[in-house]
Amino acid sequence: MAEKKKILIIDDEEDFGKMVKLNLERTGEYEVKCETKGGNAVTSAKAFLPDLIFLDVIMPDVDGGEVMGQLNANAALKNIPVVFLTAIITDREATQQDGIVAGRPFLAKPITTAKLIACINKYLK
Amino acid sequence: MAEKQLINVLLIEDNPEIAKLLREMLRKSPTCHFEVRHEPSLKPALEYVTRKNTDIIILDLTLPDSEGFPTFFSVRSVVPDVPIIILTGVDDEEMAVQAVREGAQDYLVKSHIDMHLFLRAMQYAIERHRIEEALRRATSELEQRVKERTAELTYSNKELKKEIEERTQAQSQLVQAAKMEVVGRLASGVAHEVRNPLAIILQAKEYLEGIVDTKDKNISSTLRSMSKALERADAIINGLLDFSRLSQLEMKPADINEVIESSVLLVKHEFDRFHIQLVKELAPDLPRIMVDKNKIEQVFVNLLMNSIDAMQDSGTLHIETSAVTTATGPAVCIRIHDSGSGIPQEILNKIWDPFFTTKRFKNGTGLGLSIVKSIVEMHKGSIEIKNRAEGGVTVTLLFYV
Repeated sequence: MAEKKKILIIDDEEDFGKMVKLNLERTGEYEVKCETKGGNAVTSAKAFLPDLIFLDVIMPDVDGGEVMGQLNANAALKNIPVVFLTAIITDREATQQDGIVAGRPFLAKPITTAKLIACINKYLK
Repeated sequence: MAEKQLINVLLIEDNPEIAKLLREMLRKSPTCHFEVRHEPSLKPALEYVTRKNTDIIILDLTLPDSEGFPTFFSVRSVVPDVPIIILTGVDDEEMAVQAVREGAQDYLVKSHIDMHLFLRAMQYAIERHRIEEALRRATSELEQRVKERTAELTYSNKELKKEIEERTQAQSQLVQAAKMEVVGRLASGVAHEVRNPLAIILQAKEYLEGIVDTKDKNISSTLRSMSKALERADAIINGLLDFSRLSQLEMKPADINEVIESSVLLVKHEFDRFHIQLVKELAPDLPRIMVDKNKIEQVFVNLLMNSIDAMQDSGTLHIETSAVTTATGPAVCIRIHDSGSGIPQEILNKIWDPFFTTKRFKNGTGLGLSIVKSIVEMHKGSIEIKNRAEGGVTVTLLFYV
């Protein structure tokens, strides 16, 4: 059996992470970990070493942009693909330029599990 | 010795004795040289005065061919600017006084003529007339200056009005920009606060779909209702976000035909799904226009989807482009017409209102056309939707080059 892909969700919406974890894990192909504090993102990522990170943009303590900077500054984490997941862009804006907004991969919330999986497959060929 | 002033006199007097007497008196003037022309009746006098330069007229009111007051009026009507001294018999003194009121310089009673009196009357008449002329000139100059100043003031006033208009416009643009900024912040805030819970509900619904018995009609219909409600709420937030981002246009020169092609591609599956035939008549070599390609694509997609909805199942949609010249300059014109149901006349003037929709049951947000209009207006273009006599509607868009 192929090894499960490890997905880290960094999002202050605890319930969102929980539901995505349930939906992805029941496919049997993913192992999902959730982190609700931007400030703990690097520690969680270092401990979990995910294959891909879904990163929320607006978080109360440390926002997504700053988390991204911290991940990039870390040699062990900088090559992990990060997809921003946010409620403040529209789905049309996110898909208009092949999911790239300001040079970064973006997904718009609310999002279906099918779209999340398509995105994971795109970055983890 | 100072040179005498030359004065051209026309003496209109039928009595040769008096004429001779007056000539004599004038000749003796120490200050003026009077060049006298004598006419014994009115008609030749009038002919003369129209031809020759005359400085002063001495006029007897009783002439062989004219008598009394009309004599004075006849002369004055021909040469209104030449001073006239009335010469009168004692009997018509009253008439002479009236003539002075009407503009004669002076009147002399024949029986009381004395040289000093006569010469003084002549000099005073000439002097008075000179002053009157100077006054007239001053008045006319003043009037001219008033006219010029009024014109200057009118111009300044016009400029001021223009400036006020420009300032008002700039101010309203500022207010609009500020409003858009507030709307933008508000929309982002609402989007964040509403779509996060929606994201949770969507994921939860998907989770439930995986574990409940979807063959149960009540469960499946409940899940469908949830999906629809989610889509509706999300569409409203998307509309708000689109609306709030209208101020952020990324203008680049573009070929409108290419924008149409890429927009059509985005809704191609809908054309196929509803068996709608698409006819394109795109003029080659259109001038490129400055547009935000993504926003204009949004305009076309919205208009095309409206037409597809209106045609329901089967129909023909035409898209034409052309270069046109309008009163405001060269422009690119896009016409989209469908064979759909058209728009009921009573709602035609409401279609641009935000949140007005006839498609509430189909998840219409009522923001589509108001966003379309706003995008077109931000490109300084125009859009018009009209029902066609043969059914369906024509949408006409103009973007200026």
